Amino acid sequence: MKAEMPPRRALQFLHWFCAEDFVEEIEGDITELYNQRVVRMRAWKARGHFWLDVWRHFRPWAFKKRKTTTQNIRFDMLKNYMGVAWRHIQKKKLYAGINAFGLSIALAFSVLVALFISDELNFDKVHSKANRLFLLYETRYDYRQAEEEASLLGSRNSKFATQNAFLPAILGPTLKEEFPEVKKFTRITDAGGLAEVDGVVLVQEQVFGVDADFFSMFDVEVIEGNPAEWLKHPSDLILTQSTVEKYFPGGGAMGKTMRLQLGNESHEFIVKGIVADAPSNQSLEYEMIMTVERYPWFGQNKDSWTNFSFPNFVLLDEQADSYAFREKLTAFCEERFAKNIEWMRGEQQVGEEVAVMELDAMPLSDIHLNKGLWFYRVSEPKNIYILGALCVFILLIANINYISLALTSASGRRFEVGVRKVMGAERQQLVVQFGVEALMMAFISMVLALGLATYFLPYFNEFTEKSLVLDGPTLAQMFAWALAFSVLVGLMAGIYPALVLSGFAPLRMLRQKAPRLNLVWLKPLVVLQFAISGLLIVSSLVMYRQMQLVLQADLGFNDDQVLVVPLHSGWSEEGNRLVEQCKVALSGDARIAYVSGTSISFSKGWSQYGYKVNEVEKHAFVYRVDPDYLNLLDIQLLQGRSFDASRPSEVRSIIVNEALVKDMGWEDPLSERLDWQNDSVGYEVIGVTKDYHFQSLTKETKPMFLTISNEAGYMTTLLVKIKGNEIPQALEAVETAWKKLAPDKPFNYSFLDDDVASQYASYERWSRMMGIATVFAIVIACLGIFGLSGINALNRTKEIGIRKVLGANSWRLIYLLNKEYVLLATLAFVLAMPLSWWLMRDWLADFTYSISLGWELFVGALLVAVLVSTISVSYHAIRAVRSNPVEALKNE
Amino acid sequence: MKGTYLGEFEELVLLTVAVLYDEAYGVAVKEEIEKQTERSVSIGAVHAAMVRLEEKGFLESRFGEATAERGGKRKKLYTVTTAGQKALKEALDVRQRLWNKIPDMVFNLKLG
Amino acid sequence: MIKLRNIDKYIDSRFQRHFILKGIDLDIAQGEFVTIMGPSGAGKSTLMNIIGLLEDPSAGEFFFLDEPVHKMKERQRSEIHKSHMGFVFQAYHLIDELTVYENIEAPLLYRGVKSGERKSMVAEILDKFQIVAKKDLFPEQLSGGQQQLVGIARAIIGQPKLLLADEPTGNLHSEQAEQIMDLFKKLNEEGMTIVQVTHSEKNATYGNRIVRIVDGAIA
Repeated sequence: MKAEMPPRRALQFLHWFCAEDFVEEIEGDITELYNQRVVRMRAWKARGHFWLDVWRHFRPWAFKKRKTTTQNIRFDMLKNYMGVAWRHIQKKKLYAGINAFGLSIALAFSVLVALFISDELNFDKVHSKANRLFLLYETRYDYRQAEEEASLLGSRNSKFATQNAFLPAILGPTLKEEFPEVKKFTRITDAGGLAEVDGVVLVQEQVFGVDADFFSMFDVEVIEGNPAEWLKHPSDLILTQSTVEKYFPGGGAMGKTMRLQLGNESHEFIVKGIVADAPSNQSLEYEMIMTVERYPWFGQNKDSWTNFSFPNFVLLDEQADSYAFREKLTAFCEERFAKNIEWMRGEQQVGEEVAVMELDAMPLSDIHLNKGLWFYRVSEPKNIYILGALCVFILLIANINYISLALTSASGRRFEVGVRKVMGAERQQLVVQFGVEALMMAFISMVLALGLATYFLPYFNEFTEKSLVLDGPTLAQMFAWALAFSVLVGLMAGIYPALVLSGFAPLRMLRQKAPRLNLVWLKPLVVLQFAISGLLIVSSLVMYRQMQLVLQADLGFNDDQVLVVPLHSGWSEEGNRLVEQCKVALSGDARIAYVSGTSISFSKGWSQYGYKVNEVEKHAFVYRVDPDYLNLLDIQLLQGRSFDASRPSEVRSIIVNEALVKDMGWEDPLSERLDWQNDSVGYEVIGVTKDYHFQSLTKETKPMFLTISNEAGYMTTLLVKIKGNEIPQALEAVETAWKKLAPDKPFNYSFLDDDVASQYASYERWSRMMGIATVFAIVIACLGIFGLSGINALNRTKEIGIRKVLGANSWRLIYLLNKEYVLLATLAFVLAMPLSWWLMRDWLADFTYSISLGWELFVGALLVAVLVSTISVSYHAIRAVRSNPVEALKNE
Repeated sequence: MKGTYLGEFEELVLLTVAVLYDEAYGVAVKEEIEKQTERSVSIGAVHAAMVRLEEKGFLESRFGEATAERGGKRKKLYTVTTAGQKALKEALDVRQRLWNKIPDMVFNLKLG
Repeated sequence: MIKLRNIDKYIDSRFQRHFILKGIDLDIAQGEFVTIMGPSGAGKSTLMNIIGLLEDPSAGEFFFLDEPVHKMKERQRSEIHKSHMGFVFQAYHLIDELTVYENIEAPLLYRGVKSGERKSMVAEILDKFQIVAKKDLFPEQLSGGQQQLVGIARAIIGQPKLLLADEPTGNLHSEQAEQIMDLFKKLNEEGMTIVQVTHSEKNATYGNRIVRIVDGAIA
């Protein structure tokens, strides 16, 4: 009988799925069985059995590309790598500690910065209609100002533009009427109001005035009430949850009445709804919401095209082309604001061909980082760059630590690399091994970093004026960032050492001589590390010195022990009366030096009047004060006299500052009059003060005058100068008097020096932030240099031993070990100087009064760096030098 | 010991490879088991067990001669490793210990 | 197995060419136990390195299993290390951070041996060398002789065709040395080709051929 061939297709199938290792054995065995069967049974049956046999091998174990086994081996390999890495860490606890410390600080900082940046970039994005919500704003061009600036700075900037979102109240309704794509609008006002529940006056609150559509334009989380009904009635009041907790701690706020004193008016409100507190990352921060109609200045201005004090938001139709809409606003602006524009052109003496005012709309999400815009809660995009740069710097320093420590301590691993190579390890596998090691270090640091980040979050919030909370999503984000940064750091730090270490030739191991590493990149990296530290040291020194200058500057007045008490009387005679009454009440008190009042206290705002002198527009800041003002603040008079309350003509006199005298070009100011009311009579100048900083030091002292005339406003603030040390008692006396005189008004106060300092709060915060980052950077870098010099000293033990035996003295040896680092530090500084000089000049440009960037600053910073590095290096140097040379030589 | 556990069928295959000494390849093992147990065994199951045993280090393999009835394919011949011997010995010991532990009366009672 | 033809190794300095090895012809057959001997600096370590593919000759031809080594790339060399060669060093060169077990297992990882097989191979060799009890210890916890046993176990676990030993007993006292040399002899009897470098005439007696190097040439 002729031997039957087994079914070809079955064999093809077998060859298709079966792995190379098994196919011959299996094919052989089942063919043998087939040939046995063919003899015993019918061919078709034997063929069936053959198929069945093939099918019974169609099992995972026989499949091709058995990934699972290679994966297993990779896993075992990884375990091997990690075991080695872990035992290395345990063996070299100091170096591992340095690395983990540096990396974890760097990671923690990066995570926080990442949270900050993502919060900034997601600002206002909580609103689901954010892409359809636009804020209207105007851009005004001031050509005279531009000329002035140009002549001052020598720049060719021909346009001086200001952006402002405070516009007429009539704008919103008009746009909705005239543009079909405008679906909804809301105006937003923000007024301070005194809240009163059951006849008890409580504290001042921010009261938002909006249009009823506000709730359907912005995403506001409703807790109680029906937003569709809200603000239909002028007495409707919507409270946030925390306001509710404050005023109605027992609950049941809905339907309760609440009296609010707004400006000079007082109204009864009924609580109609409760909403969740405003999320911290949006522009609008509300505590109480009422209709815009209740805004005290709404009634008289609601139809005015010349009163610019109402932000207007519009909601565009889903299909609307926002660019087309914004285009149309140009023509609209020309038409509606024709009078303003004409007037402005006349003022600036420019022709019709130039734009002096433009109207535009800005998407909600663009508002926050638009620092130039006059609006709530706009922030400085520069901060993102500063923080980002700090974060990159610290990460770099920590990475360089890892790299330099890994490489300098690497000679100990040359045997391992050699042995692994003769075992057949490929270079790529060794690269992976050292990469895994770096990643492991990074992950260990990550755990520490998460703890650090959580711990430092409140401080970070304080520095950056954020209110990041570690809730679910933020926590998840934090983990994600931490993981991402760890991988990044692991790779950045790991790759160079991995490439160098894996490059060891096994031969060197066999010869038992220390391989001479060709670490081309190590020194530049250390220089970079020093340079970054230097940059940070210089920057924080400059910032610190500048803050000292600002905070200790002679302001031209004395802000010590001056109590500032808001009168809560609106813009009315009542304020003046209260100041007078307080003055009388406190006159007998020996602890009180002076009592006075002002229309606007320092850092609380400003008021500027414009007037024409010989057809030239001039401006001056105006303060309504009382006769004791100059004495209270110890402002120096250069000429003339202070106000004398006993003279009736005094209400038509002013005291000016030097800047105004200069601005007016007066020779003999006391003989002049200033016609600031444009009534052609003017006010008599009775005194000239030395220039004092009534505004922040970031600004130049501008023309200013003081008056006791009600024409310039009413008292809003009481000022009390306390003498002696009994401040608490004096404070109590003022409060007692206040309670008697104004029982219906809260007594909240501040100290003038704090108010003045608060103008620089953000500069100070950032300079402290910089200071802390610098300290971190220096500590990390120092630890790195400490470790590096330690290993170097160890590697040079023999050399030191020989030198000692030859009679070198200890100082000489310490000098020898330090020399290299001092040189590197100096080189780094030379490189870092120009950059830090340039950066700091830019930062200082914000201040009109600034320190000069003298050479001594840079030399000081260099000395700091050299000193710190010398200290870190010398520890090892002294130890190495002290060791017994005989021991050292035996070592080899 | 995890990973070196010996299943019942695996033990059977391992023993059979030992029994066949120098002639243990797929078909031979299958036939020997069928002969001894009077059960039909699929060649697929035998191959699977031998691959597993080799992975566990109990079996070693080499290629033998090619024959015509195998379509010119070589046999894969298996031998038991020292580890395999140990595993068999252990399995036997466990059984032995258990047998020894059975109280005499158990089987007596059943018989009675 | 190994065929060296007219192998030179030299270093060029500024004024002259300094020869370490000159005109070496050497054949080593499968199953031999060759001892390379010679005074210090004669070039025996260099010869060993060349045979071990750790160093390239400056000139000449080198065939390993009839393959021309002098034409190989890094990867192929690493392949030969992986599957055909085992190394034993005077200073043992165990990886300090790995246990005895892991040290022996490491070459198998690079060879991609599956987990189960690896376990039984390591178990077998631990058994054979009677160091099962030491398997979880680290090298520093072992005596020199024990470390060298582990070193040899690691070298032969991949069942290499060639075992290269550079002064394998150089750091051991005589009793341990004898034990190690006995082991080499046994391995050789089992079919392993061995090349050793040694100063010790006594160790040389374990082998079956002695190659003497003097001043870079075979004497």
